[in-house]
Amino acid sequence: MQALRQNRLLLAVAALIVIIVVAAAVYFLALRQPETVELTIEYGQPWEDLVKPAIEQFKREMEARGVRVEIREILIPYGVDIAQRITSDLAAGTAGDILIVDSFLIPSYAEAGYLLDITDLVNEWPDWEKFPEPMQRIVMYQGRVYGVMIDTDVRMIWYRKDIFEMAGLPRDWQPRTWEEILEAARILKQNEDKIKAALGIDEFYPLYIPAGTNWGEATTAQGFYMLLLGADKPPYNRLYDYENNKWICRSTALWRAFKFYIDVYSTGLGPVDYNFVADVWGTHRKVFAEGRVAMNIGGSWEWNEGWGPQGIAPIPNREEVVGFAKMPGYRGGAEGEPQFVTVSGGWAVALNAKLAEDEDKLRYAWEFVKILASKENLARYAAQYGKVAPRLDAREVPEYARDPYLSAILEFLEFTDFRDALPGYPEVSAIIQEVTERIAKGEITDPDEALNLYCEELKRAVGEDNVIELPVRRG
Amino acid sequence: MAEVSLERVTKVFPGGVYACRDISLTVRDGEFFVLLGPSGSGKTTLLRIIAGLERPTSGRVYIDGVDVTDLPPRKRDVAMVFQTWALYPHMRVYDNIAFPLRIRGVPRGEIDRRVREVAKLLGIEGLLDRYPRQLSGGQQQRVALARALVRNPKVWLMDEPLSNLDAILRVHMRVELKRLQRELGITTIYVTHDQAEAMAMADRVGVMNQGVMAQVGSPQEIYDNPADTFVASFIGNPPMNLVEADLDQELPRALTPAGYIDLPEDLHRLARDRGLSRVVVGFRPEDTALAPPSGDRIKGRVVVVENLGSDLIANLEVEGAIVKVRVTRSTAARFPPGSEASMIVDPARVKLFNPSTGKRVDLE
Amino acid sequence: MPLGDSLERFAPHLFLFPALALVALFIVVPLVWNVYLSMTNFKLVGPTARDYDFIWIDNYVELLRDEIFKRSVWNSFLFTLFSAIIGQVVLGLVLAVVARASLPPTPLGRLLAAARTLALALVFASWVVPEVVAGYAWAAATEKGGLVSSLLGLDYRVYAEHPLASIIVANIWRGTAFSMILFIAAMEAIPRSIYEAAEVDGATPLQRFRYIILPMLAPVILVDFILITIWTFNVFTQPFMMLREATGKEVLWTIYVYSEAVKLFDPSLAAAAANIMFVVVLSMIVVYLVLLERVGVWQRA
Repeated sequence: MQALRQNRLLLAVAALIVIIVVAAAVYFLALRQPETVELTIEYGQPWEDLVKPAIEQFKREMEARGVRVEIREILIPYGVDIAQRITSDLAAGTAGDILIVDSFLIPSYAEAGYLLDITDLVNEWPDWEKFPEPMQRIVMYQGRVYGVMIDTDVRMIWYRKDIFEMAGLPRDWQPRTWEEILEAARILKQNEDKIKAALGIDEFYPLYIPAGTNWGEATTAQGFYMLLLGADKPPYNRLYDYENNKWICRSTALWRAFKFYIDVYSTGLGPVDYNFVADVWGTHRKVFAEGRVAMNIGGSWEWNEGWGPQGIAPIPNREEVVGFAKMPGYRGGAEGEPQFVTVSGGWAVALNAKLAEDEDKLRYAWEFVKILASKENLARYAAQYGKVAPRLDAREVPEYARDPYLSAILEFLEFTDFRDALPGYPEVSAIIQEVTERIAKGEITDPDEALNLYCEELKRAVGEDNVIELPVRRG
Repeated sequence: MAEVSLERVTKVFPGGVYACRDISLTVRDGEFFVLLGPSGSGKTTLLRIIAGLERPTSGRVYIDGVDVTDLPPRKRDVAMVFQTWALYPHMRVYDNIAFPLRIRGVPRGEIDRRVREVAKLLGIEGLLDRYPRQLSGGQQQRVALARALVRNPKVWLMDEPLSNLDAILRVHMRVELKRLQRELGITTIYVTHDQAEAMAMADRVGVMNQGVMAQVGSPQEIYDNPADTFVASFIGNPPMNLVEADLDQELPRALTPAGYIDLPEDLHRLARDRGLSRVVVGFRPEDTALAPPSGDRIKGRVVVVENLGSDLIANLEVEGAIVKVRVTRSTAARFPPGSEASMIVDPARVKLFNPSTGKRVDLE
Repeated sequence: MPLGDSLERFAPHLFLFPALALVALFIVVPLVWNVYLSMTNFKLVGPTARDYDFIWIDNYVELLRDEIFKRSVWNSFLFTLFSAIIGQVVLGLVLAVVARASLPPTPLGRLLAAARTLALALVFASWVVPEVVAGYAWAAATEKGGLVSSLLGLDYRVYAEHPLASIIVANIWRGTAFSMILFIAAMEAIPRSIYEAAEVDGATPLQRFRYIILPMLAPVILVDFILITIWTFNVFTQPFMMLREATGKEVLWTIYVYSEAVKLFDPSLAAAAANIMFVVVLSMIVVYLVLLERVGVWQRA
């Protein structure tokens, strides 16, 4: 009896093993067809309206080719610092296969080995030519490409046509030099009382250029770079010397940029306080809408996000009173200096470096990138949000071409430039924020003092061996 | 002289509940006065009104002839012992006892002298350095008494101070408390729901029922001559038997379907003169005897015999009601459970109550 | 010794093992890891994300050399002292006493009781409001022309001119409800007869508070100290919303760390700062625990 029971048990175990083995074999051989792709895409909610339709389109196209696609989304919601989240995920190794990253962090990511070098892939992609040269360079690090721009912006001088008129300045205004900007500011200042009375406001400042740490990166990207890039001829108009691979500690361009800040903030032309409020973004839109500020150096998105009907501080007769001018170079193009400057940032689609290990996956991921960054998708998304598209052929898409403002700012892309977003850039930017903060607070009124402080802090942050001092022409 | 007088004190709680209704009372100097009643009878509220922890809705309170109705407790010079003793848990025994003196600014040396004196009186000298948590119930009780004693208050108020002690300790503390009170001669008002405690300790008892003072008197008076059916049924263990019956208009007896009970002639006449046809006959178990069934005397069946140690109580079922009769062992042997018996009540000890008012007939 | 016996002896330790393993995994390991991290030059981006070096105490030296860090630590200390220990505890205690005070059933008393209910609801609401919202609200109220600024008759941006005072007041506003609720609960737990005993023993209301309520609440007060000291020392959101980086980094160490480390993707420096503050907070708590041992002796007697 006992023996019989044991035999039966043995039989049952054997049967179970056979079943498991067969099931596993069937699963691996029959069910797991190689033509299934699983990809993970990690992106922030602002790009939901771009990514979601692209995923659908990708699935359709792949299905037509007989490939089953499974896409998992890691959606980073509004309110979360997207760059922080993606950086942490990359460092932890849990980031998606396809990522929408801040273009400004691409060099830092590339240096850390997080992103895949896609230079060969873009070179075989006909659309790559449609991205203007600055849009191509912004996603490069040391000559290699790490992403494709999907969302960008440009910067300009916003000004109030109605206020200009009150001060006897032209409604259609385009300064040629920095001095012309300051001159306009001084004229506005002389008409301060008139303007205040006309608009019923108690404060008036001619020119607002972001300064200080409350603006964070915007002080550097939106204020300082707008000056620096036009302050001298290339390549001396940057923070980094690419020839010597060193950060620039002293230069004519730096001196001139700091001097401009001093000219604005130590003479009452610029609103010191607005740089130190808790909500600088909301404030700078509000004060421009109220007429407390006549010239505002800001981004292309403000037309809609700032002063549009659904904006933070709507200006009802926007078309009539709001104008924008290109930021001129120091002397408007003399001596090889740029004639006009603007700065672009924005977000790019990039691939996770770990895709290098899986060629199949990589192939499909690149297919997805091409669909995501297609002319139609980028133009439609840009039109929907009132932003400048990163591709010049966006103007061929009716939805985009319909908006005169969007068509007009497309020309900025031709001369746009970007920050020297190398590893270590965040520290350098923090120093610029610090120095401009002291200037705005009135603690520094001499451009040489500003330059000394900058140089000192820079050496401390990146090391004395990593800086270079260029000759400074004062004037 | 510390005499406590209440003048028509009424306390109505929000919602219209009468805790005390029109109570007038004088507690004499040095007297041990017990407020007795079941829970919810208003005795604790009355005590708290005297302490000043509650304000009466109407009526006045006098201590030593001074109207204290509007004075806070601290200006009345009374001391109170709470049911839970309410010792300050963060103070050592010494500091607990010293507290009433400290806040009055009594000099240090004087405090020390008096704390040690009271501690000695209560036999807790050895516990002065302990915290309340480290004491047994009886010890905590003594500390609470010491704290109430230490400043020689005019009046001692006690709210069931012994109810949280075990039975043996409780009996022991009764004696001690009584001795202490007599030695010190402090006017004391003591609240309890335990009639045995009241009987054992009180100079006088005030029995309360539903906010009304039912009867005030010495324990003996209250036991022998309860003023109404409530007092009769509340006092005594077991309490007085109460049987409702018809008043025989001719002979001095009360008639029930189970037989008659003899009544004293004077009471019978009084009741008849009042025009009563029904009465409640009250008689204590010890004033009753059992006899073999005979004649028309009230009859019943022995259901059970309770053994109370010194006494035996036979429970006689009469017409569906239970009548208790104190019997000797030999009697009990003669009437085992299930047997029939007649009941003989000593007519001189019988009380008659008016069934509609509950009051004793000879008091109305 | 038979196997069963030794098993029986070690069984209790065996049962402790899962709990100990979790403690080790979630508390000890991160703590040790944090100390290690603070001694490297690891960053989330750039070359040292891949190849980082052990740099001993360089991060600590850098921090302790930084005047702004030292200033922010000192200011954080003042912030905690005034907003948590003095503000929230004292005010919370006062509010708790007020909340429990009995009012006469007269019309005026009822009116006062209703006003009190409303006031306490507001205090409680301030605790429930999300920190970000509260921060913006306080920034707005202390703006030039804001509610608080106008009430004080100040014609400037109060939070920018008096940053420490502003965030202290805002934090008291926000945090007091917790202490109040804790104290109300503790006072409810004191039997009514204790209050009454003191009343009959002859204590005035002030004496009852001084000799009975306060010492009996002392252990709870110290526990409250411990909790809110930790919270307040580590608070970030509301002050950051009010001051942002420019002013905030000199006033609170958390904002300093944000400005120097988080924004720059530098976890090793952040870890070093966190470790320094861990030691600071820990030493404060040790002081509290010693005091707690003293004032709470009656509870454990």
